[in-house]
Amino acid sequence: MAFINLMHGFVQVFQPFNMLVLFIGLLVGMAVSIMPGLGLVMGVVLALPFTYRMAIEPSVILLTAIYFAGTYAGCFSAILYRIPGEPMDVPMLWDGYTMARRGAPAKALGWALVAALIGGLVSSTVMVALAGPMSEVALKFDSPDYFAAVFFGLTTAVALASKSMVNSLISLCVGLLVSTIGIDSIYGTERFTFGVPILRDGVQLVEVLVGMYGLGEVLARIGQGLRIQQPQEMTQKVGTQFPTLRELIAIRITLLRSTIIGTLLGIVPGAGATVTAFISYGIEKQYGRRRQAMGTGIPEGIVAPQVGATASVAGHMIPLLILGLPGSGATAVILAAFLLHGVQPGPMLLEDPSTTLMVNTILASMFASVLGMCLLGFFWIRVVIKVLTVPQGILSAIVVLFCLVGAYANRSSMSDVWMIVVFGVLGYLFEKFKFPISPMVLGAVLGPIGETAFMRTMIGNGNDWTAFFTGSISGPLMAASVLALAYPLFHRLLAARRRTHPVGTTTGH
Amino acid sequence: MLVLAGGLYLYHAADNFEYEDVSGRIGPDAWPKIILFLMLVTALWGIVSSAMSGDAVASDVIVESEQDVALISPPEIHPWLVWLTVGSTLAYLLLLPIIGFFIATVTFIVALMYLGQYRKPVRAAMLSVAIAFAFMFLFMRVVYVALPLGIPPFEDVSYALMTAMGVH
Repeated sequence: MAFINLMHGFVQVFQPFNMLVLFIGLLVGMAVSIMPGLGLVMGVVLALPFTYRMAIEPSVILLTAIYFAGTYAGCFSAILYRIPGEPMDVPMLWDGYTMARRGAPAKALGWALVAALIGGLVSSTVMVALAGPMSEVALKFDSPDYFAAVFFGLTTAVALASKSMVNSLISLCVGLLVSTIGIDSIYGTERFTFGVPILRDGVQLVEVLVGMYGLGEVLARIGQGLRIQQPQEMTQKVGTQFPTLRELIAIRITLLRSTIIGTLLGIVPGAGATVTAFISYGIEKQYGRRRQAMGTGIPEGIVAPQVGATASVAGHMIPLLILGLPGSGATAVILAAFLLHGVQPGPMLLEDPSTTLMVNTILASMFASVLGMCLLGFFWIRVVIKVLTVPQGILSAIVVLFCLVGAYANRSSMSDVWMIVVFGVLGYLFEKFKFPISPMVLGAVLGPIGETAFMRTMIGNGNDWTAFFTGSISGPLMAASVLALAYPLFHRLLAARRRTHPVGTTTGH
Repeated sequence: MLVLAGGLYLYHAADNFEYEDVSGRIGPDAWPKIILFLMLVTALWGIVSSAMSGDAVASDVIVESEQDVALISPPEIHPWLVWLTVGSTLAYLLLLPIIGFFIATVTFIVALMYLGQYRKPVRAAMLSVAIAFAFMFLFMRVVYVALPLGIPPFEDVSYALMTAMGVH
């Protein structure tokens, strides 16, 4: 039954308008991920205003296509020109660029393409198969369970977001506080409005996302002088050479390991494509058969981060659809697209006959996105890579304009645009003072869900906070949250201890 | 310290929310106060730990070399350019309802390109006209958004362009 529903979804994806939207999304995703300073989250943010007048299906297809393509195309500039479009492409410099420099750029691109294809397809298949069972579990969720799920999401986001736990926590608190501005839904009380009329409606999600990820990023780039390394050999012939079947079989363990890591980390909120790419590379370097040769231009060093990054996208999409909980900046924007269309993602989406087709269309579009981005990557590399020649001054002007006009287009309200500037400056200051942006954004997105679940539980249980720890679902989730928070602290203490007592030294007798 | 001061001020504000108290129920201030408490404790922890270690403590969840970090996030060299950009944006937003979208946007893009170190004046002027026109077309003709037209005599320019685009 689920398979037939998915096939119906494919039929919808292959409708001309949806195909056009998918194609545009893939091109945009590729372009923004190649260009340093833009990135896939900004691509998704900038595309958001164009979804206001679309139906929900093409809207989510567009954003999902950008998300998928954004995890892949950055490898082109990293491998060919040593220009990582995104932080997630940095591991690609170590083996991908090295392989290209050793005279096999086409082979390096071929490995990246195969890795993205396998990671994307396998992870999407696994997650689509898990969607039904996850939905069954999610239907049993009560208020304490929802709160625990949100709490778990926020704690893992904090634990993984930054090198400084303090900055991550403060960033999260700022996001949660932003979500409390306006009139409270239970008591009708004005909170933190300070008499400013535009704050009474609360802060729109679009304002936070576009301001922090869009305008804030451009401001930071302007401060950095908008410098990007110019490619030296733009005229060189770029092609793709696929690995042979024998070569693929030789690295089957790497493929399997990285796909599992990518899919599992995708489910964990906060572990975006960047974290997954680094962890996949790190594990390959630690446990891989040819770990000693990592960094010298071997296929494992290209495959592991690329598989991990692409596989994580499917892992992020399913919790968003089934639980309504975004685990990354890009999925937060996709959630905003759902909400702007009056659709609340959650377990009922799969159960309700009126939304089943919509969900299956989105699931099918994940497969179409993976296949489409690989096809475009194979045939259009030479065209897409030209985006690197656009002067940064022109590009940043266009991005700023998209941010401002896009925000205005939402409600034709100038106050929304003013709020974009406020959050843009906040985003710049966050970047300047090394506060990670993703906990703040996830806090702003998940805050209202968390607060509602918290208030319902407390009111329903006579203010008994132990209710969060005693449920069969909420208890383990809360325990996992504590572990997620404790892990970096424990890790840091261990590192400090190692520094104090280095291996091979004695401390006394 | 700034976070600590801001947190204390907001905690005080949360303490003064006006609502009808229902006995046995937590109020609308409970959730913000929990967040603020967490923020204040975190800020204190940050102050104490940096005072004790003399430096920010970093974890090594993601290990990147300094060279790689510089590629992704180069150091800030022109902070004043950032604030000039913010100032230009504020001026743009103030002028938008008066001189209309097209004229304001052309001027704004030229300013942004200059701040973005694009120093080809003729090409910048031509590009800014083309970009402003493209945005106007995209949002008014394709996405059906009513962009600010300005006041007379500037609105005449907006109307002329709308007629040229076939927007009514």
